[in-house]
Amino acid sequence: MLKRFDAWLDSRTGHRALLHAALYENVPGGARWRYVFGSAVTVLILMQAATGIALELYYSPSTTDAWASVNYIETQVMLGSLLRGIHHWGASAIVVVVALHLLQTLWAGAFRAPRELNWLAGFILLQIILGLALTGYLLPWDQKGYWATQVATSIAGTVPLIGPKLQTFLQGGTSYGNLTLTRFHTLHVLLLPAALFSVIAVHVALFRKHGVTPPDLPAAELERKAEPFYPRQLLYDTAVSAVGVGVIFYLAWRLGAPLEAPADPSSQYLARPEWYFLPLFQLLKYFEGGAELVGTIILPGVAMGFLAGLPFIHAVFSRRIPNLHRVLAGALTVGLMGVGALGALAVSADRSDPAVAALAAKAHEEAMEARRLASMGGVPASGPLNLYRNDPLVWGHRVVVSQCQKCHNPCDTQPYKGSPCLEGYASRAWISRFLRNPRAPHFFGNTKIDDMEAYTGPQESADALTEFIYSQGGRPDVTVALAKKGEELFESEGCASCHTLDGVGSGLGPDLKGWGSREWSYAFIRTPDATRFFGELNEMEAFDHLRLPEEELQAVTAWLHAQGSQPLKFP
Amino acid sequence: MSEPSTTPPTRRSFLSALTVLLGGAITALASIPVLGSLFSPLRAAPATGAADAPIPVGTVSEFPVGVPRRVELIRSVTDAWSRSDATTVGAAWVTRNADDTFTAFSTICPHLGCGVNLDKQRNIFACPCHTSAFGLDGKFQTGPAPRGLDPLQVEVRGKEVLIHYKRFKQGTPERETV
Repeated sequence: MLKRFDAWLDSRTGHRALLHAALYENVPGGARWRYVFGSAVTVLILMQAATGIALELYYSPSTTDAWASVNYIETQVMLGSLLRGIHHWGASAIVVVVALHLLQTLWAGAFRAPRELNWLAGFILLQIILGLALTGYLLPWDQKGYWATQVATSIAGTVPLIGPKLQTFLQGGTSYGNLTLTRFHTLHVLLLPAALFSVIAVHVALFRKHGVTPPDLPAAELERKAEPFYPRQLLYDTAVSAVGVGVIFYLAWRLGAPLEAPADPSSQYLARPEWYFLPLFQLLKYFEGGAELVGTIILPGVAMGFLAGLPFIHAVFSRRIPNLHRVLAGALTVGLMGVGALGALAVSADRSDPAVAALAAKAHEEAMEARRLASMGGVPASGPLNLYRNDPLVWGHRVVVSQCQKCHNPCDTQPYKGSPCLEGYASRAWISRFLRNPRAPHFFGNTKIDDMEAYTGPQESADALTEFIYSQGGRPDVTVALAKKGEELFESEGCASCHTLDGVGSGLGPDLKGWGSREWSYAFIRTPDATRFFGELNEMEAFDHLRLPEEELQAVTAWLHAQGSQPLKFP
Repeated sequence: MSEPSTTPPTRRSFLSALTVLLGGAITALASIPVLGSLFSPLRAAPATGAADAPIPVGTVSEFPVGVPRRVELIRSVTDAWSRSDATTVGAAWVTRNADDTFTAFSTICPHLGCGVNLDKQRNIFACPCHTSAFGLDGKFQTGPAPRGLDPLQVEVRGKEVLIHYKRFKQGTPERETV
C-alpha cells in the first residue's frame, strides 16, 4: 500500500531521485566531524524560524505595546519564557557556529577556485545573520535594545555625506519611535529571513555542485576513503545539531532571556550591545573626535572587505606565493582572535568598573519593578512608562533620586555628608533617633542648623514624644494613648518653646502640626523658608512649580509619606 | 534504496536509527515551547473581577418611555497585556417601561453575531445580515435566528441606570454565556 503510494508519488514528483541525490552525495576522504557546522547552522536557523513564528503570534511592534507584549510572553503565555529563551540563546549559538563554520572552510581553503562565489554567498549570509541579530534585540523595546541599537543607528549617521539621511531612513524618522520599531520588525521577520533562506538555497546549491573541499591528501586515498553522505556524515551532522539544540534548550530553561525595564528615553542606562557586537563597541573607544569614522566604518569595512575579497586576493597572488591559502587563513584567524580580544577587553573593562556594576544592579532592580507593576492588571494602553506614573511611589522615587539626592544623599552613603537623609523619613525609628541626636550626620549634622538640643529624658518619655510626633503624619497605626501622653510631654519637656502646633509657626523652629503628612511636606518643599518652617534658619532651596511640577511634587510627597513605614538605611 | 556502500547493512541500519532518534530529539525539544505557546489561549482564562461590574449607561430620565435606545457599554478592559481605562466593549438596546423598570437586549444577533438595528417603521429589531427579526420585547419573529434577542440584566441605583453586560454563544437555541 505504502509502496504503491510511494511509486505513484514518485512518478509525479521524482522525489526518490531528489532524496537519493541528497543522501548519497559523495564525500571524498570520508565523513568527518569537521564538516558538521554548515548543517548545524541550518538546523539552528530552522529552530529560530519555528520559535520566531510562535513569538510573532504574541508580539506587537509598537512603542506602547512591544515591551508589554514581550512581558506577556514571559509571564502569561504557556512555555513563553522557554520559547523566548530558545530564540535568544539560539541567536547567540548561531553566531558561534557560524564562526566555527567560517574557520573550518577557511582552513580547508574553500575560498579557492572554483568555490569563490560560494565563499561570497557565505559572506552575505554572515552579514544577514548579523543583521538579524542586530534588528532582533531592539524589538522588546526595553532599555538594552533601545540604547544599544541607538549606537548602531548613530554609527550609520556618521557615514560621510549620506549619514544623516541614512540614519533617518533606518529609523523611519529623526528619532526613535513607532516607525523605528515597524522598520526593524519588518527587517527582522520579513526581509532578512527571506534573504537568508534565498541565499542559503544558493549556498547549498553551489556546495552541492562543487562538493566538500577535500583534505590535502593524494587523490587515490581520497577515492579509497570516499563514502556517501548517508549514513555516517548525516549522523555526525544530526548528533552535533542535537547537542547544540540541547545546550540552547538547557540555557533557555535555566536562564531564560533577559527583559530589561521598558525603554525610557529620559533615563540613564548602561548601553551595551549583545556580546557578539562588543568588539565593535570596544573599537569605538579608541577613536575620538574626527577620527571616529576609523572605528565605526573604516576598520570594520576593511576587515569585512578582506573577508569578502579572500578568493580574489588568492587568485591574484597564488602563483607567486606557495601555500597562500594557509597564509591567508592564518592572517584571518589572527584577525578573528584580535576581534575576540577586543570583545574580551570590553568585558574586562566593565568587570573592573564598580560604576558599571552599580548601574547594572539598578537596571535589574528597575526591570523587576516594571514587571511587578505590569503584573498588577496589565500595562496601560498609553505605554509601559506610565506604569511608573500610575504608581506615585516608583515615580516619586525617581524624582527624589534626580532632584533631591544631590543634597539629601542616599542614607547608605559612606561617610554621610548630606542634608538629612530621607529613607525611612518620619518613621518612628527616624523620629526617636532624631530626638536623641539631632546633630548626627544623617540628620542636621552637616547643616548649619544646630539650635535643637538632644532629648535626654527617660526612654518611655522619648517613646511617647516619638508617638505624638509620628501621629502628626496622619498614620493609621498610631497608639492614641501613647500619643496623648507625648502631647503632654511636648509642653512639659520644653519642645513647645521653639516648636508650635498651630500651623502658623514662630520662626524659631518648624511648626509641627501635621509634620510628616503629605500636606506638610508639600508646603515645606514649596516654601521651606516660610515662618511656618525654618524661616531665617532655612538652608534648603525652595522648589517652585517650575523646578518641580505639580504632579512630580505629588509623587515626591507620596514617596516621602510612604517612608514612614520603611526601615532606616543607616546604622 | 540499495546503494553500494562501504558500511555493512546492520551497521547502517543502526546508524540510521540513531540519526532518526537524534533528529526526533531535536524536533521534540523545539516543538515543546512552540506548541505550548501556540495552544496557550486554550487554557482556562483567569477570572477578572472588573469584568463583572455593572456598567453605567445614563440616568433614568435620559430614556424615553417605550422607545428602545441604543447605548454603548464602556468600561476598563485588560486585553492581553494592555489595560485601557475606557473602552467600548459592546452595546445594548435599552427600553424604559411605563412603570420605570427597564428592559435591555444585547445588540448582538443570536444567529451569527451581526449588530441588530431598530426598525422604527415596523417596530421591530431587524438584523441587517440575514434578515432575522425580533419584537420590541426581544421575542423571535422571523428569519434564521435560533432564539430571541439576549436579555441583559438592568439595575437602577437611585437615578443611575446600570447594565450587567454578558456575551452569549451564537447559533444555538439555548442561551449560554461565554
